[in-house]
Amino acid sequence: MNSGPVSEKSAASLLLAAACFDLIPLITLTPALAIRIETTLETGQIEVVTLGTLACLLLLYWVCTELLLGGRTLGRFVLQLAMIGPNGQPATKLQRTTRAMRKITTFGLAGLRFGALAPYDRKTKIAWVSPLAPKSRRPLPEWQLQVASGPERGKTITFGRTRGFQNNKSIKIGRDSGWADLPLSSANNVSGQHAVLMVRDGGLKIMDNGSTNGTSLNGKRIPPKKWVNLSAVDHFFVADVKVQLVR
Amino acid sequence: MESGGNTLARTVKDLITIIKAPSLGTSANLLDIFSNILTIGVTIATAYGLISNVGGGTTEFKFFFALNINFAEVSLTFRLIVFLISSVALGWGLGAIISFLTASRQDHLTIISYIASLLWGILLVATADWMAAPQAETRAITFPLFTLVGAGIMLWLSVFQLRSKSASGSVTVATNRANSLLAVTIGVLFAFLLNLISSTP
Repeated sequence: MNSGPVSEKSAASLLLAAACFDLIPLITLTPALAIRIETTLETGQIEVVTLGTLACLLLLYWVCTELLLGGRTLGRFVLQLAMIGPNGQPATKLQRTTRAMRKITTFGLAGLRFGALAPYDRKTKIAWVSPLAPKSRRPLPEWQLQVASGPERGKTITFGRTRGFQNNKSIKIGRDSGWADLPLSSANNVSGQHAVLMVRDGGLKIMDNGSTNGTSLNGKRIPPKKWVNLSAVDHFFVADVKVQLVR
Repeated sequence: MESGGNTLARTVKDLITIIKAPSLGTSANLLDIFSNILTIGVTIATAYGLISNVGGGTTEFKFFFALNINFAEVSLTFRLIVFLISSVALGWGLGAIISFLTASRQDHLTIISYIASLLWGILLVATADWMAAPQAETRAITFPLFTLVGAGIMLWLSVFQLRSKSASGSVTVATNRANSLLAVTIGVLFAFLLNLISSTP
């Protein structure tokens, strides 16, 4: 299958979508079963019996799909979503079982998150693969940085055409046009020598050069003078200027 | 700050660009043209079915050759085949729409993509309701079955469409596409629940 690991946000959305899909057959079965149970028990509280039946069906469905079928549910099948272990290999039986037990003990409520994976996914270090995962087919010298906001919006540089990349595989960003490979001369909040991107240990990393207004990734300011991985993000902020990384 | 008129004009301009995009408008590939015509045709037909259902409460379907079909009297096999064709077309169309609307990474087009996905989910359930024929005795079984099968086909084909476009994507594009698929399933579940509640005596 032509799938790759998806980001946490994408995986969370796809898992919620799969859960919504899985609810359709369970909701269909519930009223018919609840009426039978109510007829047998004669409690006179059909609403409570219906809710209880749905809860029992959910638990049964999770036990069957997560424990017996190795995490394969109807929803995940139609969305072509599969789980993998931390090393990129298929998740082991132990990881799947641990995850399922944690999910069942919280009655799946911990998984109702938008934009973040459930704690039981994080604890067991389960990741998700999908055909939606972005695939870079361009070599690194053809990657680009695009300024997406501020007075220099639209300015684009290609890695391989910059002096810094040709010399030592680095791209410098700042207001100082004599120093920077991506000069942002008109952006007043950007420092003269603001940040550096560099290929290190086989991946692209970014370092804030001790700037006044900082560099941010995913809404968080990165610590100065420390290399931070850029592999799972496609944009970052130098001060208040958004820079898009086009792979 | 952009005025409302400018934003609207830009949205319309972007949408025109999308409609003119190669695989939706001027594709040289015969298969693409065929699938696009099928998608557009079936989408219009299902929308017509939805309107006629809501408006008149009837399940009559008048097609090009003045065919008058009352789905309550048609065999289940025929209804299933027509529904499967509709689901395939809706799924293919949904994949194309999400793909083009999210590719540019513009916020207003991404929001349109979410709304379109939500409506697409509702449209599929409306089609399932229409084909399950409210007057038919087997409706209690056929409606959930049609919804499940139709939504499954639609989602699978959408992912299939988006898979071939993921090479040009990024993390944000992939997230927006995943959110759009979530909007589809929310639309399906919402419309399905509403239908069940409204049909419960």
